[in-house]
Amino acid sequence: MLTNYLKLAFRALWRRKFTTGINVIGLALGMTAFLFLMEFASFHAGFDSFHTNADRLFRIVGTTPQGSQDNVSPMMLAMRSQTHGIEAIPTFMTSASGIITYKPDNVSSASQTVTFKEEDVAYGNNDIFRAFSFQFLAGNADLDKPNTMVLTAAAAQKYFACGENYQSVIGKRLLVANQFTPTEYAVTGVMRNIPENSHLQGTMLFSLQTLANPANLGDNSWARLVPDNGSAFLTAYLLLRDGTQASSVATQMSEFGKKMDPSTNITWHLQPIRTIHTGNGFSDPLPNSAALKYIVIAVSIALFVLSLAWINYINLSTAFGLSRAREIGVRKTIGATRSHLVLPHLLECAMLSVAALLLAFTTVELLQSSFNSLLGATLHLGYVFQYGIGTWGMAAMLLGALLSGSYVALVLTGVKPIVVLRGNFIRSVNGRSVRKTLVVIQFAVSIAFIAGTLIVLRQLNFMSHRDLGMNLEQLLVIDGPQLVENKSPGGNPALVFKQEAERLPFVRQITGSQNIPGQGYNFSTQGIMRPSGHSDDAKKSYKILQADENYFSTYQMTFGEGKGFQKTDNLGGFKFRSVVLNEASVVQLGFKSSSEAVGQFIQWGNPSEKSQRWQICGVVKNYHHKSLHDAIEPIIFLPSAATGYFSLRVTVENVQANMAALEALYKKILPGNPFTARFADDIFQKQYENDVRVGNLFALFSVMAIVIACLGLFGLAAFAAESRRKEIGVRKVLGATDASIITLLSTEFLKLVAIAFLIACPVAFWLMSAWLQDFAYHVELRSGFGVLVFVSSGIIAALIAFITIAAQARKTAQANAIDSLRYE
Amino acid sequence: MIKLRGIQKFYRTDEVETTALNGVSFDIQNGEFVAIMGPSGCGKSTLLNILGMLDNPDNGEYHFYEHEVAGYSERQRAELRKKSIGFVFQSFNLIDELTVYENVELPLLYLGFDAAYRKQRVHEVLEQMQMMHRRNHFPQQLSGGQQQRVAVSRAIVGKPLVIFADEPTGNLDSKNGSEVINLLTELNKSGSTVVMVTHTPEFAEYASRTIHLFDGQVVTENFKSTAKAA
Repeated sequence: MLTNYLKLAFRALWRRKFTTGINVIGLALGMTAFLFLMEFASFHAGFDSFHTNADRLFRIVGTTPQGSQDNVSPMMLAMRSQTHGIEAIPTFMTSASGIITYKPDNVSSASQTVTFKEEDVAYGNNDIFRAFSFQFLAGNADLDKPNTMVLTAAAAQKYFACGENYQSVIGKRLLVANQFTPTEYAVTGVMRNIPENSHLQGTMLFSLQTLANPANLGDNSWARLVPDNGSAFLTAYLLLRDGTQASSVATQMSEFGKKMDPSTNITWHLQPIRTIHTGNGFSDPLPNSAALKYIVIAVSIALFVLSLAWINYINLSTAFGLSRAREIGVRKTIGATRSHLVLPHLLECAMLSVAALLLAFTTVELLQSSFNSLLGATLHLGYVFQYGIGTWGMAAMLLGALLSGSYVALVLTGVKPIVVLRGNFIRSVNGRSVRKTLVVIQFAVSIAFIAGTLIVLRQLNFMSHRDLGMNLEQLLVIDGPQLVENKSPGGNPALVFKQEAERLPFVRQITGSQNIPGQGYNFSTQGIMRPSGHSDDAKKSYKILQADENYFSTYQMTFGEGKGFQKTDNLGGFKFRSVVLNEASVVQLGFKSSSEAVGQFIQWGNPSEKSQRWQICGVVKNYHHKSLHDAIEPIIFLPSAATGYFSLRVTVENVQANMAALEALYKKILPGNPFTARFADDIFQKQYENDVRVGNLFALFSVMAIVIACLGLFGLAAFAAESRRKEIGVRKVLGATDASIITLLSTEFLKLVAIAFLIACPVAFWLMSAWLQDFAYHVELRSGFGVLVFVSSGIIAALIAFITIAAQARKTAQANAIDSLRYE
Repeated sequence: MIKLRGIQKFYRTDEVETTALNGVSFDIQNGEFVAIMGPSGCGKSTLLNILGMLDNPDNGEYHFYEHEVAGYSERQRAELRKKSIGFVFQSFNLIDELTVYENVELPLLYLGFDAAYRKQRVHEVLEQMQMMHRRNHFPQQLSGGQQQRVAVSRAIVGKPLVIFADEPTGNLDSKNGSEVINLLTELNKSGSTVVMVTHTPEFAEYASRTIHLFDGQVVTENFKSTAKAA
């Protein structure tokens, strides 16, 4: 019986190639989008799940009334001896960027030396490898011994060009120069690159134990690894023994903390490792990447697009299914029961779904790399099947197939044989309103997507064209050196480089600063106020940026009042004669105007220390130091011979040759330091990488949604034309023109698009307003622009719909009227 | 045996009520060949639909053998219909996706017979109708007469008590039409009860009795001692 049904289902699909084709393509499109989005959702939902011990792994997080942080002190970690249930305490010290050098043995030539600046390196203990599931390709970890290290396959290849022969790397030594005393580390193990869906990332791990030797600490006494050191600079995790309650360990920790420091207001928590990326909910107070939001958005869009495809299937199948009513009527007449008829239809649906799924899998495979580059990710189908959410997604897809298939089967098999045999089934209004509703839903979604895309694109355009209050064009940024010989005969070589670079003919101006626009500040601080200020003023936060006297002119910022500081305004020892504010600081400090502020004093910290009083020498007009996501913050600029970054205003010509000249100069004066040069506008635009991706995604899914909707509309228009063939024949006999018939057939559907427009506008307005709230500076939807966006979205959808319908209607309108009448 | 008493059927639209059948009463005995005749719109097809249990009367009694069908639910009618009635339509109503063999097999499938019996019975009927050589063809590959022969095969394959034929010759030329009438006559001779709606007086001659309908009422019943020889 089943093979019989399968055969029948196949024949039925084959005979109706047109509808089958539209159905398969529509479903496949929806499924493709669904699979891509589920890859994304699964990837994020599955973060840190690859650790075998994931259920027993927790990050130590402390909370105070001011907030939470994941740093812990050696003093707190001494609780190990007094706390039950702890199996291991994997401990890291991160943000240890530095210059790493490999000098091959027996080679004296400097050209053989390999040097890179590394950002993703850390110090750690051997418990890391007891607790986390990082796999070794060669050797092993021995981080409890000083001067040992582990690196990833990528790092091994980068420094040692070892190919796949990782064993050859074992025992090799790297010199690490950073804030600590330059120290050599021997490689004891090479591990696989850390999976991308791990919140822990990095390429090198040095033994933390090395820093237990005070000689290796340099003057960083804060990093002493002794139980009486209360400074919190470590990130630590706990691997609990089976059956241990995390909450009880956390309570013991908090009690221990109180015992060590009765004045502490820190409460300790154990954060399950899997929730570090997603958060434990939308309002998880512990620090996390809040990826849950993106997962929910992705899953929602995925289900939405998939529903669009199923709606199509329902629409087309019920519409064209009416022409199958005769067959069903005949079957019923000769004895078929409902179940006899439902099963073959379900099988048809299953076959369509399988065909569409295969097509979708193929499409996903083909387009994966384009999708990944659009998203800046390395997703693959494996993620969908790897984690729970993907399984649920596949279940949802099956359920959708079953529901829509059942609906179609029930509608179609519901026909009464007597109605069919009387021959007027095609005029039955049954299901017409359902189909209209579904078309409205499809177009509402499409219009919302189009509007969303237009708004995202407009916002991106707005951001890249807004006057930032400075000029980033033809501005080159070179990273300052980290390896500097302080006792150079000619003075600080970094400053020598600055002087020499300024003499190059293509360099118009150069400035040194500790940080740069588009990236950040030196630090932020409270406690800055006017001498006459209220004590509450001390709680206001300011951003501090140290820069030399050329900073403002190089970046072409404008002074509202006063002027910039002089080199001599830095008195040494963090004492300054005068400072520059931006307008936001002026307002926050309570001055009425910039002109009132200039010449006044502000103080930082203890008011009795006169040296901590700074005179305001100028107020620079507000500029966007960070992206337009952030509001302009109060900044205080301190004069400094800063060498963190050099920003150079250069001429337009011969960029490559000039760059080479700069690099040569840099390497000559600052040997051992890698030369990194970027353009300031690229750095600034990099902040919008994610926003550009959102825009790309929106555009992609708008196209998909509208294509799916149009496929459905095309099918329905074909059906409408078919079922109104006689009417059209009669109208033509009576003198109707082709145009009037196209209008007749199109109007019905365009009305639906109009209703969809009315539904889509408020929904899209609400959603996109929420999205725009993420930007301190954004386009305004309650404006001419907003009206334009929504109206044009409606027009675009209506146009596409019209073209789709008109193509079909034209064919019908031009058909010979006599044929139409004879057909009936 | 079939017994109709005072059968009424109305069709209603929003404003108009049309009487399709107005107090139709007659009996059909086992083994009879009855023709129903009348002008267009006289209610012939409505009557056949009620007789064939595709539709319920609005008033009156319909006894089909031991069953009082008039009050049956659609499900009950369907159950009785599939066991005891075979249909032949003017437009054949074969299923395009199915081969000749599969079309004929369909009623047996719905009756739940096993594969071995189905195969044997379908072969038997196709042999009888001389359609065996066409068993793997699809309906659209056959001539009209052949299609109707398949339809007749399908009607009789389940050994129904009664065969209802709604203008079975209406879509056929005279030669093929005669062939189909001969088939029905033979079936009748071998014991089947046949009820046929027709426009063609010549074909009605083959029946043992003709019921004339006019405006939803039986006007005459012509009995014949002997039906026209095949």
